[in-house]
Amino acid sequence: MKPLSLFFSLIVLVFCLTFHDLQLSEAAQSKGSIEERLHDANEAYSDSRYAEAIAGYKAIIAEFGFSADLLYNLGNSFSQKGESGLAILQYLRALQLSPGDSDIQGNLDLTRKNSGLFEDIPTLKEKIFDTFDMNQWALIALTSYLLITALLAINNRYPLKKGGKIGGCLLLTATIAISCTGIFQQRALWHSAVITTPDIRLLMSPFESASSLGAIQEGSMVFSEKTHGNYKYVRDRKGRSGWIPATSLESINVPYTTYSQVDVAQ
Amino acid sequence: MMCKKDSTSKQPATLINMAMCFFIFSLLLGYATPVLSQDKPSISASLSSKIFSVDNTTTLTITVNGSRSARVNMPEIENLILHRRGQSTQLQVVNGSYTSSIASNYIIQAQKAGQYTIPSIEVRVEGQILRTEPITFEVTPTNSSAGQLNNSTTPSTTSDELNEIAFVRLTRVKDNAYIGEVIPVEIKAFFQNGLRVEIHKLPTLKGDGFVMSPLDSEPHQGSETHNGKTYSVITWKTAISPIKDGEFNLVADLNAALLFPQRNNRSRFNDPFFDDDFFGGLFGGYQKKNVTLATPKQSISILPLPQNGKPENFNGAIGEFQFEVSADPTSINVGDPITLTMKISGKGNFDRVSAPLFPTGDSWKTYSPSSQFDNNGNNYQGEKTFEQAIVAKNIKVEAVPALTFSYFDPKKNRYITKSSKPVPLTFLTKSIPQSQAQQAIAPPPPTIEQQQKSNRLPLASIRLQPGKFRSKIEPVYKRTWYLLTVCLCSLILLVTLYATLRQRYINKNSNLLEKRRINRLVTEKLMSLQQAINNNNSHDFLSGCREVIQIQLGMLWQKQPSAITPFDLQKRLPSHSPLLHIFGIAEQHAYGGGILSTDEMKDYLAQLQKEMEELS
Repeated sequence: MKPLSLFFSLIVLVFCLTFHDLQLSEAAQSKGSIEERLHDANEAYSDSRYAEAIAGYKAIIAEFGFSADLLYNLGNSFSQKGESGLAILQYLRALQLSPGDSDIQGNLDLTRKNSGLFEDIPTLKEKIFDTFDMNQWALIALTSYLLITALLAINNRYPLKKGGKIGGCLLLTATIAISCTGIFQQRALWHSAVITTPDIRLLMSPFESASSLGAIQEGSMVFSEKTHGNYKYVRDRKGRSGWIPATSLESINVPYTTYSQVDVAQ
Repeated sequence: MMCKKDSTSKQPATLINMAMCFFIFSLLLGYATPVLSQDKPSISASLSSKIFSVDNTTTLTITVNGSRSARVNMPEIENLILHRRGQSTQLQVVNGSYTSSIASNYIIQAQKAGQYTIPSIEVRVEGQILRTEPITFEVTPTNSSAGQLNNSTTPSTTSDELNEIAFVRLTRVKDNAYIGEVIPVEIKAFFQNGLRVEIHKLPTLKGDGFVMSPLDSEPHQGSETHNGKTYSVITWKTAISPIKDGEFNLVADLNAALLFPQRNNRSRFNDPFFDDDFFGGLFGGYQKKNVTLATPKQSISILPLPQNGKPENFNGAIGEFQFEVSADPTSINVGDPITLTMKISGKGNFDRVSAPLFPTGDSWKTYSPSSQFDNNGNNYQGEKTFEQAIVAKNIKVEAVPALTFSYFDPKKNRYITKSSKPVPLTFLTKSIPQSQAQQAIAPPPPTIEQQQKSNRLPLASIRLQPGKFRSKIEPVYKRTWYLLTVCLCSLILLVTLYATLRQRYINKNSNLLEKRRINRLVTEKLMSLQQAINNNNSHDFLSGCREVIQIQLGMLWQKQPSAITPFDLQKRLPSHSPLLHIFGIAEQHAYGGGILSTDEMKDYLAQLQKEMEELS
C-alpha cells in the first residue's frame, strides 16, 4: 500500500505544480497586460492628457479591481484636470486601502487647499482619534487582542508574576477599548460621500425649483440621510443640511467595482 | 390659618369664623397646591382650508399643548411647496393652573391640482416624539369655483366701545408690491391708559400671500394721544414679504386679555358688552375678558417681477442698494493673495443678496467668498459684506476687474445694475524699461502643452506599479483574515479559561489529586505484579500485593501505607475479605519464604484487582 499511496501522492503533486505554473503564467500575462496599460495611462498623465489618463486608470480598475496606487493616480489626474470633487473622492478611497500613505494624504490636502476647502480646527477628541484612521485602529485592536491572548495562554502554562500579568492585561484591554472607540469615531467616514459636481445648492425641498438654503462646495464631505426620487437629503460636517441631486455626490465606500464599460468609454 | 375658638362667642360668631376659615382654605387650595399643574404635551394639526385652488394657498398649523418648545420635522410631499411662517407661543393661567402651547405655521402651496395627504408629522417635544394625524385635502384647478379662498381676512367682531379702549393698527403699506419685496411695517397696539392687559401671543398676520419676519418678543412701549385720549402703545417693527402674485387683503390681529376690576354687576364702562356671563375665574378682584383685536383691512396688489430687462446676474435681490468694492493689498507679487471686499448696503431682501461673481479666466485664481450681515436689529436694512480671496496668476494683470451687482428697485420699477471700478494693482517685481521692451523680441506664446504644464499643481508624482488589487473597498475588520484571527484568539482564550477554571477546581479539591496519584500508583503496581507473574517471581509478587493493599487502604483510612499492619486489616475488613487472606499470605511468605504457583498468583491478582476496583 505504501508504494501505491506514494505514487498517487506524486501524481497529485505533479498536478498541483502544473496548475500552479499555469496560474503563474496567466498571472504573469495579466500582470504584463496591467503594466502595459498602466504605462500608457501614466504616459498620458505625464503629457497632460488627463482625460485619457483617467479613462486608462478607470479601465484597469473596472477589470481588475481597486488598488490604492491606481486610485491615487486617478486622483492626481482629476486634480490636475480641475475636477477637485472627483479627485478628493479617489484620494479618500485610496486612503481606505492604504492608510497613512503620506503621498495620498499630501495630495489630498493640496487639492483641498487649492479648492478652498479648509478643515475646521479639530477638537482635542478629534485630534486624539484622528491620529490613526479606522483601519489602523482596527489593526491596533487586533494586535492587542493577539498579545493578550498570548499572555494569558503563556500564563496558563508558565505562570507569570501577578503584577506583570495584571498590568499587561489592563494595558492591552485599555488599548483595545481606545482602538474600538477610534473605530467607532471614524466609522462615519465610511458612510459619507463627496460632492463631485460644482455649483451645487442645498435645496429646502427635493425638486429643482425649491428654495435654496445655500451653496455646498465641490469636494465637501457629506452624510446622506434619506432619498426622495432623484434627490438625497445630506448633512455636511458643519451641520448644514438640505436636498441635492443624487447624481452630484458619490459614496466613498464602494462595495464592488462600479466603473462600467460605458463609463470607461466616455 | 387663623381659626380661633372663642368660647365666649355665640353660635353666629362661630359660624362666621368657620366660613372665613373655609374661604381662606379654598383660596389656599386654589393657589398653593398644584398651582403649577401642567398638562401633558399633546399635538394637533389643522388646515385653514381643505379645498383650495392651485393659485391659492392654505395654512397648516401644528399646535403642541403643554410645552414651550417643539421641533417639527416636516415631511417631503411631492408637488407641494411649504413656506414656514414661524412659531408663536401662548401661556395661559386659568384657575391656578397654567397651560402653554406652541403653534408652528406653514403656508402650503400646490404645484398642481389633485388630492393630497399630509402624512403624520413627527414633532420632538421635550425629549419625546409626538405625531399628528394625517390630513387629506384637495387642490382644485385654477379659477375653480369649488375651491374656497383661504383668505380669512375677516377680523373678529368687536364692539365699537371696545375699539375706544383697545385697538390695533398696521402701518399703511403701499398699494402695489412685487413678489419677494421686503415691506417694513409696524404693528401698534393701543390700550387706554389705566387698562390692565395681558398679551400672551404675539400679533399674527392674516393672509396667505405673505410671510412675516419674526417679531421681537420685547416690543417698544410708549404712549400716544388719539382722539383726545391717551393710550399706552406697544409697537412691533417687522417686515412682510409677498410670496405670490394677486390681490390680497392684509390684516393683523392680536389676542389679548383685558382685566376689569369687578365691583358690581354693571361694568365701569356702563356697557352690556361687559356684562357677559362668561368671565374667567376670580383673579385678584379683576375679571378677565379675552379679546381679539384686528387691524383694518388693507388691500394690496402683488405683481410678479418683470421678465423684460432682467440682467443675467440677477439673483432675486429687491430693494435699494449701494455697491462698493475694495481690494487689499494692491501692491503685490504674482501669486500673492488679495482680499476682495464687496459691500452691499441699503434696504431690501438681504437673504437674496449674494456675492457678485468674479469673472473667470486664466489670469485669476479665486476662492469661495464668505459673507457677514450687519443689520442693526432688522433683516431688511443694513450692510452685507463679502470677502473673497483672489490670486493674480501672472504679471499681465493690471487691475482687479470691475464687478457688477444687479437688483430690482421697486420704486423705480426696473432692474438696476451697479458696477464697481477696477482696482489698479502694482506688481513689486521690477519690469523691463519701455525702450528695452520695444526692442526685445517678444517670446513666442506658450503652446497648449506648456500652458497645461505650467498650470499643474505641485502634486506628488504618480505611482508606476499597479499595487495590490481588491474587489471592494471595505474596512479591514470585515476582511476574512481579520475575522479568522479574532475567532482563533477567542477560541484560544476560551480554552485557556477552561483550563484555568479546571485547574482551580482541582486545586480546591486536593483530595482528588491525591486520589488520582494513588490510583496511578496502584495501577503501576498491578502492572508490576503482572510482570512478576510473567517472571514467575512469587517473592516480588507477594511483596507487590502487600504494597498495593497498604497503599489503597492507607488512602482510604488516611494512614501511612507502611503503618498498616495485619492487625489493622483484621480490625477493619470483614473476615471473608480476600485482601485479608492475600495480605496474610504475603506476610507469611515474607518471613517464612515459600513459592506460589503461577495459577495461584494469577488468581490472587484477579482477586486483588477486583478488590481494588471496588475500593476505588
